[in-house]
Amino acid sequence: MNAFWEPLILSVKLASIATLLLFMIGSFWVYVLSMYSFVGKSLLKALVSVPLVLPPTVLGYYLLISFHKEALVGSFFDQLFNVQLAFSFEGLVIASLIFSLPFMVNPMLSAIENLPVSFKESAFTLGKSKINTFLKVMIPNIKPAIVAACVMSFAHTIGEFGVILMIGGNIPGETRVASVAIYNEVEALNYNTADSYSLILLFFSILVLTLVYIFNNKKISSAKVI
Amino acid sequence: MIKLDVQKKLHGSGGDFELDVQWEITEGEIVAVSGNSGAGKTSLIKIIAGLLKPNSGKILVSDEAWYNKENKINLTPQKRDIGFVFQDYVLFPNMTVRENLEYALPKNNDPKYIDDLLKMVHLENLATQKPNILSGGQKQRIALCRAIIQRPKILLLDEPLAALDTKMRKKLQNDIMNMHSLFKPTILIVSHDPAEIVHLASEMIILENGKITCKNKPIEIFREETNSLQITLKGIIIAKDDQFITLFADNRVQRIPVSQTELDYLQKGDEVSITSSEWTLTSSKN
Amino acid sequence: MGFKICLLWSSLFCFMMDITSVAVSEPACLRVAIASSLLKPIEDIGNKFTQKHSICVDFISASSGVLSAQIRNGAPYDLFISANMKYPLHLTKEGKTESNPKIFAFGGLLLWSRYPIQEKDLRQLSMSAKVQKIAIANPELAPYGEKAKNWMIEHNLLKILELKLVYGNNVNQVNLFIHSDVVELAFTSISAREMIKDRKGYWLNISEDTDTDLPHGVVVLSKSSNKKISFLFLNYLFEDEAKEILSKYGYSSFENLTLN
Repeated sequence: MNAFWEPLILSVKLASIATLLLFMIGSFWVYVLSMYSFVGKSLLKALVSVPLVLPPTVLGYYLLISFHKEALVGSFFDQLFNVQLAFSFEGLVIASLIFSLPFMVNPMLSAIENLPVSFKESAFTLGKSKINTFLKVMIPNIKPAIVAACVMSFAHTIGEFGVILMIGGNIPGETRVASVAIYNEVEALNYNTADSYSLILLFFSILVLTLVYIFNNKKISSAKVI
Repeated sequence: MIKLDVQKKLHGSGGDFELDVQWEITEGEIVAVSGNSGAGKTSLIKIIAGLLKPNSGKILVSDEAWYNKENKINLTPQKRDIGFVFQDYVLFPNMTVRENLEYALPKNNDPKYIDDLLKMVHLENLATQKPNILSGGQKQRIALCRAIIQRPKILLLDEPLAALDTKMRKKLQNDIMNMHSLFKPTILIVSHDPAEIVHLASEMIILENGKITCKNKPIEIFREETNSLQITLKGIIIAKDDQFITLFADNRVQRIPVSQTELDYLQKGDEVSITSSEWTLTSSKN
Repeated sequence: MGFKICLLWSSLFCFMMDITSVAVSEPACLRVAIASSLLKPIEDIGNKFTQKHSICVDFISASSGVLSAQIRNGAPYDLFISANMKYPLHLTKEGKTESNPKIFAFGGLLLWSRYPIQEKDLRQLSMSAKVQKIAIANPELAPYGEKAKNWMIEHNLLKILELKLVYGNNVNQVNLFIHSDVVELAFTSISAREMIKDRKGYWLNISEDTDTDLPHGVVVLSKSSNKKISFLFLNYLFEDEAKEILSKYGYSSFENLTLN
């Protein structure tokens, strides 16, 4: 029984940790992109979205070579945290941070850019710093977008397959997440197990998305002016 | 003394033009900026606020440089002693009225000041409400309170009364006057409304394509357009039938008889002027 | 304010990374990297091993080539069971193994066909229009794919059949194609017959009896954190119980053949 649930629990664990970290990293990105103008801003915005259009295998390939102990990223983690990135859960977390980044940043950034410019300007004329304005005025007014961003990142991480397969090594209890486990079971012709995993993931995805939309609708209707 | 000398290239619907303004404003006065849409009025006050960066020039406030292109000085809005009321009120929707004002209140200030301000605009019962349920006029008055809560040296108002009806406008004009008497900030108000400008301002400028075309006391500027032996009404034709035209003038719909020739060449949508040398004056006080 | 935020964020970040490393506890189970063709038989052997020694075994299967590359890049496996000796020997040369690889069984090439087949008709059948797709494992990564390709070259069939070829990442993917009935002909391993029992079709053993082209090797890896138990498992592959299972799947064990 435990062996069956392990990949699912692993997927949820990976997605949760990745989403939490992404929220921190993402908010930082959104802060920089929304509050500052500088040369190369468009390039930075585009870079954030690159994982959306890049084939997962390309990303997986580049991650694999940079995770190597002699490479920059790999050696950094090896020396500092004594962690080998390839074939490890940590490696999956790092990979998730990259390929799910646009799902966290883009909804939030979009929502912030749609706020009236005068919000920001108002706060500035009241003497509030950029970070104060961002935290006290901008972020509280994009709550639905933040929820959507977190859910999208979570769901996307649960669903990621190509990159994880390339850098994860399909190791039970470590990197054999649900999406990879399904592939594994299909190859081993264990269709029943593959079916079970697939149905659970499908149901879970629908449930989570439905809850999010209910939550968002509640927020919007309570804010409607009569 | 507030000394303005700023230039900025602006993009308008009719093409690019340069905003080029030289203006000395006596501190403590209420002054008005008028002109057609797109003339650069909002840009001008945003430049003063530090929300827009000019191409060249200088801004001196009581001999303190807020902007100086040559000396590379450009104070951020946070560092300028200003209050700003935007055209779309901009109360933060995530905060209640009180929280909006608390947010603006400087540290170590007595929170009772918030209650005083709310009382002054007669809105103390709305303190715990969120802005989304307030009417336009209520929002504007709160926005005004928030802009002055820090007792700024300069208060900038960008067509604050434009979206309000006549009755609300009068109320707000009084609020502005009251606030002015509190701590005598310099007030720059952008407005189209002649009555308002005459009521509030001691000096006004008219901007046309970014340049000042008139600078004088409001009454002098408006007086040029009027002839004391006649009264003129301006309106737009909204309908015509057999012998009458219906027009919209002075915020009201009026139907007046016209001759056949006039009926022939007048069309719906035309702007017309009605001049009369006979009239009866009735005051609402009676 | 900004500094406080940065401090909070970075400490939360480090905490998160810490949690993830805590998640990686010492592997309780033996990790065996196993060539796809050998998955089911060795899994069965593994179950018996677990029953006997109360040690659990995890299997990671892929083509021998892929596993070999992963090991070269530091994959945390205890043992490597390959469908040939070439890959394990390479790893030994690079110092990635604890000792020399040992042959524990010999495999054979098996042909599956949707239509009835006999060796003498093979050439004609494969060239006919009835056969549109022929599955083989990727010759660059899977020993069985390489063997299948060589067989086609020997019989002068490669150039003719090349356009009909469909490549599976490993032999198990070929078995998947067989099972889903999307190909008419497939080159797979002898274990496939036992592994996909419910598949209609016809099997033809095309490996010679004394075929030594597919010696299957097992080796303990130097990265193993459990060398003692790894060797225990390795030796278990040579015991009678294991040999019984291997022959059930069609493999010949080491003793019955001579090696040059």
